[in-house]
Amino acid sequence: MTANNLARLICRVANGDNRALELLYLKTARGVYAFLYTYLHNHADTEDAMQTVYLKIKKGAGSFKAGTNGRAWILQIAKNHALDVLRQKRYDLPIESVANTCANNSFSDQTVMNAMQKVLTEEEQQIIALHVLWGYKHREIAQTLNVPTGTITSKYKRSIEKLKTALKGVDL
Amino acid sequence: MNWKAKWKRELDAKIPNFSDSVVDCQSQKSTQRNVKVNKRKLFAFSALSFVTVLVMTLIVSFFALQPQPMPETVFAVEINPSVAFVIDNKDKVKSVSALNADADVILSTEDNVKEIVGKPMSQAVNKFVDFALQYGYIDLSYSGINQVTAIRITSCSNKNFEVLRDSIEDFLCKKGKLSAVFTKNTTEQEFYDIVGFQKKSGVKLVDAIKKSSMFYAERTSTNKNIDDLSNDFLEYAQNVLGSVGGEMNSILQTLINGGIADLQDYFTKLKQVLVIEQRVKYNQNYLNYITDRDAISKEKLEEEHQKIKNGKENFEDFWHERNER
Repeated sequence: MTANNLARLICRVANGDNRALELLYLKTARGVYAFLYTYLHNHADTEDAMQTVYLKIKKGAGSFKAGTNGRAWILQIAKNHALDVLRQKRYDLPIESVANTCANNSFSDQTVMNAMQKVLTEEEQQIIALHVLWGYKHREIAQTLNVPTGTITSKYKRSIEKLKTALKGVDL
Repeated sequence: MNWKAKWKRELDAKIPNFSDSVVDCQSQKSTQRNVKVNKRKLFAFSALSFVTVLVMTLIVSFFALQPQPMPETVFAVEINPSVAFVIDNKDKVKSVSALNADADVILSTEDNVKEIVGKPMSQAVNKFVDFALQYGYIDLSYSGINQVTAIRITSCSNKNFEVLRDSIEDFLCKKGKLSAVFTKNTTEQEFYDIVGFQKKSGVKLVDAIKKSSMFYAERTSTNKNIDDLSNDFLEYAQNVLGSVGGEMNSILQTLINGGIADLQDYFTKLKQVLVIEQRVKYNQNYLNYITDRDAISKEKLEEEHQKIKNGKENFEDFWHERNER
């Protein structure tokens, strides 16, 4: 979905259109989930964060300026919330629950997600999520992450190679 | 299946369903929060409330004989973002309200609000200034006009804000940022204008602020219908397009002023034409492609593209002719 269409949906959400919120969710949930996951590394936290992010989108839709970039707005909310969660977890997470977190992430049917977490850095995962799921061009990713476009292009290529190597021989 | 498709399937399996609890969430006001009410807790709360009321009645009766405390005070801190604080007689923040859309961005994070409301005035205001720094509203670079940040504290009460002024300047100085904080005492009506509230008889400003939504967007979008919001968009588009120079601005301004209903459609058409022009300029093959596809001569196409450069009237003529083919 283009940034303009997202912006229109957000404006409708601001008007209290719940159908628009549902549509927005359907169109963006995959990308938001993947993006949050690159920060939280944990499905349980990511699921919780999803609900909070969309609540914030619904609450804050009124402050969204029509005509601006809907994608960037949503991702900024997701990023801010992920960072809030991480900040909170730094103080709250007891040692024994780290084991639970790892156990929660042991999933045999999440081949690609496993591989991404194993071989890619957080930034590389974000670059791939932004390009593959959000349709961002490399130039746009560069602006979002504040790095040169050339760096994004080479990092993307390297990430794809690493991922393909990790998935070699795996039956997808 | 390739890895992208597999990845998307894995994500789809993990994504929670669109929850009714998101739909049912009420728009937040500063005094409301979504709370799960447990029946046992409710009963305990009711019992506790009864006892509390009884005790409070006795306490209030006692204090009624004491001298009345100073009323709450409201003041505005304008940086961009701008907010209004309500403080009690002990200079503790009772509530905070956004006075513009940028302040909405800061206050839309609950954790940010928790670091402001209920805190001592200086601490809360410094925290707000810190958020303005974190979110990039105050530029920490040293060049040009960004070297000194101007902040205004406005109030219509007689309270002295010099301590707060010094606290903010000191706080920013430690962050490496020069600032000039002005305190301004103004009339009540002027203050109402600054905070964007309507003065109503019998209602104190402090009460009006505390009872209204914390968010600027909510307060200003109430009672707006889709036409109002469309006008807001057009006004925004005009402001944005005002930064686009030359003939482009002139063309688009005409379209806007002409009250054209489907502005988005014209933006799309204009963009298509300009993309073609740029591509033709740099890629002869693309010109050949267009002329073949549209069955018009290269000379005619170049002639029409030239018209775009000649301003708004020519553009409109071009577009009418194009559509009549």
